Amino acid sequence: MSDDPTRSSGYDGDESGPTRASSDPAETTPSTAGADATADALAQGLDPDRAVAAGDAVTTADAEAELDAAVDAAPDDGVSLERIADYLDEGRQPYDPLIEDDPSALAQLNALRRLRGVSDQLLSDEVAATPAPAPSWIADVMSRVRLESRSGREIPLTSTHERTTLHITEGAVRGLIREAGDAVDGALVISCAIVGDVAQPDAIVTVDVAISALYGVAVQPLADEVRLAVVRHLEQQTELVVEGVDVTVRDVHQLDDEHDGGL
Amino acid sequence: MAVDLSDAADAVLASRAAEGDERAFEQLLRRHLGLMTAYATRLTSSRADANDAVQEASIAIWRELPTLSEPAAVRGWMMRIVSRKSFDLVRSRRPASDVDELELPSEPGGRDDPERAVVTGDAMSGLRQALRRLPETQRQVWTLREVGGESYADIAETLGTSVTAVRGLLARARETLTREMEAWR
Amino acid sequence: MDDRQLSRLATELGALAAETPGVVRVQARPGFGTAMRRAVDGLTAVVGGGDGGDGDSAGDGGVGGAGSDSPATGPSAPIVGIVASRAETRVTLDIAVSDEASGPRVARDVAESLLGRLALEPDLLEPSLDLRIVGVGPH
Repeated sequence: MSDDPTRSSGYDGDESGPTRASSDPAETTPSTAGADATADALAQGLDPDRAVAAGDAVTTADAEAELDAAVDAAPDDGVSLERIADYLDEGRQPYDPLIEDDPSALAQLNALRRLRGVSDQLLSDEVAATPAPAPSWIADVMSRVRLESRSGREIPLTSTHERTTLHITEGAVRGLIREAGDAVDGALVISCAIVGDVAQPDAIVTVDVAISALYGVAVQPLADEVRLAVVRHLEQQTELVVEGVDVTVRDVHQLDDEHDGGL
Repeated sequence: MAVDLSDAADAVLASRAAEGDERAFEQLLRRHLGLMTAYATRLTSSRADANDAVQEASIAIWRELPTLSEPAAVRGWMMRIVSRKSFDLVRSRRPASDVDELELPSEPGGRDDPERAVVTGDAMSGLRQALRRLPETQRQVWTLREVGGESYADIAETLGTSVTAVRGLLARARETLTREMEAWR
Repeated sequence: MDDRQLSRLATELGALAAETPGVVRVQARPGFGTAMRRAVDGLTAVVGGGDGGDGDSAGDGGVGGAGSDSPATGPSAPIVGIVASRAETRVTLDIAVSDEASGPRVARDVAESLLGRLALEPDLLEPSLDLRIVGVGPH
């Protein structure tokens, strides 16, 4: 389990979650006009006067603008809570004096920060309290997954009988490349691809392999070893004419480290 | 002996799974299952429904992994699928899903009674109660944003409403929760 | 040949494939049954595929081959698919091969074995095989 399961949202410029939308009103989708806009606004608990103003707005754009104004308006003409929250999401960068130097806005920011702290704790708690799934639950998912295996293109093998067709799937070959690369000490395959028209029996193809290298291991010899292993396996298991195997070290990893977890 | 994937980064597991590596997919699933289930439980208010939603989400994740352009962002991406499936489930099991009906907060005097929360005297417990007291749509928007980190546009699409409505609901939820949590200090 | 005999033959072919050295697993081609049943004209019989096209679950969809640790489970429908028509008999199956063997050679050996068996059936015309290797590895 990730050591910090609460960091799923985009706090502090964290890349692991989807980008938070900006407060840009231009991003709003068209809302219904007239009475619907009023109902909308009332359902949100916004000020009734503004809600009616939204309803009275002649165009959808005007209604949107009224609602946006209502959402943005703070009780004392100060900074809206939404803006403070977005500021917090951005890691309080760049420094905004309107918030940081204003006692009431700062107080709201700190209150929001504390709220999030408790919320993170609560989530951690809930995650820890979630019972591990029954083995059959995972098994069910995996058996459904297997039904949708990614076989990819079919790569022909020589057949000794007319009308009998023998193939190896692209999915099988990729699995084979992963195993070949993984078997090299210090290497972990990230992705691989067979480039070329594999359907033509004598067509020339190239193979691209991206690996992660164990920190401290010499990178060039490792890549060479992976290349050799992949070439050998492809010769043994396929009839592909492989012009070259390109091994790229895309990442570096350590053993017994905390999970990267995408952070 | 197959390589040990338990220490592999999310991005590596996601890339491999997208290319058909079932073991990598299983590892990715196990690693984030707790978070996904807790998230789904918040959104569906039912552990049983959450398990079903997460199972459906898992299959969808397997299917759609090849479309993920940034493997490093896989966790947030998976959470988005979990919320999508959670809402699909809630809608299918509550056909009379009138938004007004869902706005009702819990009854006073019950397990969520604020007086009882005082007795427990724990901020986390207080937040739990405060969340339960929120109208359901506000609670959902809060969860989608604060736990799932989802964008306003995605939240609006999930709830079938406008981005402006989402912002309004979120503002209300934040106001209520900050006010109630400050009372705990 | 009636459906039941054909079904028995399909099961036998599956076992023959599984026994071939280097074969780790024999499994149903996903969607075989459905595709064939839609396919059509002049079909005498379609059996097998074991993909649960009848709505039942065909066990785990695989038969452990020689040298694999998993016992052969008994699927409710044979794994190997056979389409028998007036013009030809087409046999379809997917296999997984051991990483210690040579894939192409194992594929040809399975073809030899199955076609040899099919040649013994006078009722079946022009037998041919559609075989795919869908996995390579120790499992």
